Amino acid sequence: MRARLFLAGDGSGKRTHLSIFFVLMRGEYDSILEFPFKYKIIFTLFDQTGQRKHIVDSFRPDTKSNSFQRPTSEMNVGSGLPKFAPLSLIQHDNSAYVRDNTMMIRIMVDFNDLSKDVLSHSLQLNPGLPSLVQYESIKRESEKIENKSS
Amino acid sequence: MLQSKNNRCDDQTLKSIENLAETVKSLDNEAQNIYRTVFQQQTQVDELSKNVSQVEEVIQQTQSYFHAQAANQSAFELQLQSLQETVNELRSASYDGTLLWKIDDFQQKTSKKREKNQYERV
Repeated sequence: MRARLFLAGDGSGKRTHLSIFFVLMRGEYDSILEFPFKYKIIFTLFDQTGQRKHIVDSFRPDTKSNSFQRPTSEMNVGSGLPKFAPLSLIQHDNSAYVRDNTMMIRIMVDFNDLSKDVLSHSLQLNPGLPSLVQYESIKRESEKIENKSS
Repeated sequence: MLQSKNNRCDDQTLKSIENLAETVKSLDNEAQNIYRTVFQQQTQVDELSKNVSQVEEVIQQTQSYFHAQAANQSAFELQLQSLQETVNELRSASYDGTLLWKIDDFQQKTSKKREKNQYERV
């Protein structure tokens, strides 16, 4: 997979938004993978001021779209969020999302179909933690939420 | 009286002829010397021109060697480039479905309005 970012926007977000797309690439193990690709993709643009006002957006693949079938060429047509984040939030000198001339974006494949509450928990996790630790924490949180609701 | 005068004249003519003959001889010697020198120089010139063609050959060999070197170098440069790309790809690859993408030099990238790509593999 590949993520594609347009800093000046693309498609319906051209010149107004930051656009981000997800692209399936042809791989060596495609013959044993499941297609179409059906997992939700979650994009996070990090707020680097510590106020945790991250910009989070996600999309669920349209399994009928060519973008998510097994790639027949080097890469499929991208699909994603042309209006991920308004440029007005990013293109000013003191943007919370650009610090030290650097922007941080996380692209996450949601294999477990996390609920909204669990998802927000996962976003609070320290991205520096090993993925296994993050996964355990998410699992604990979802069990907690399940217990609460039952 | 007349006879003796004639005799003297003959003597003088004879002497002159002898002198001339000697001069001719020495000129002939000199001509031979010159001819020998010319011959020697001719052989030298021949040898030198042989040397020149050898030097030319060496120059050509060196040149083709340089060409081969240049071709090798550009091949190595291509290889290096593809290796660098592979290293970059591997460095930014992740295998757990989550990619943290750091976009540095944000200002430069915005001003160029360049589309940026990044790889991720799961």
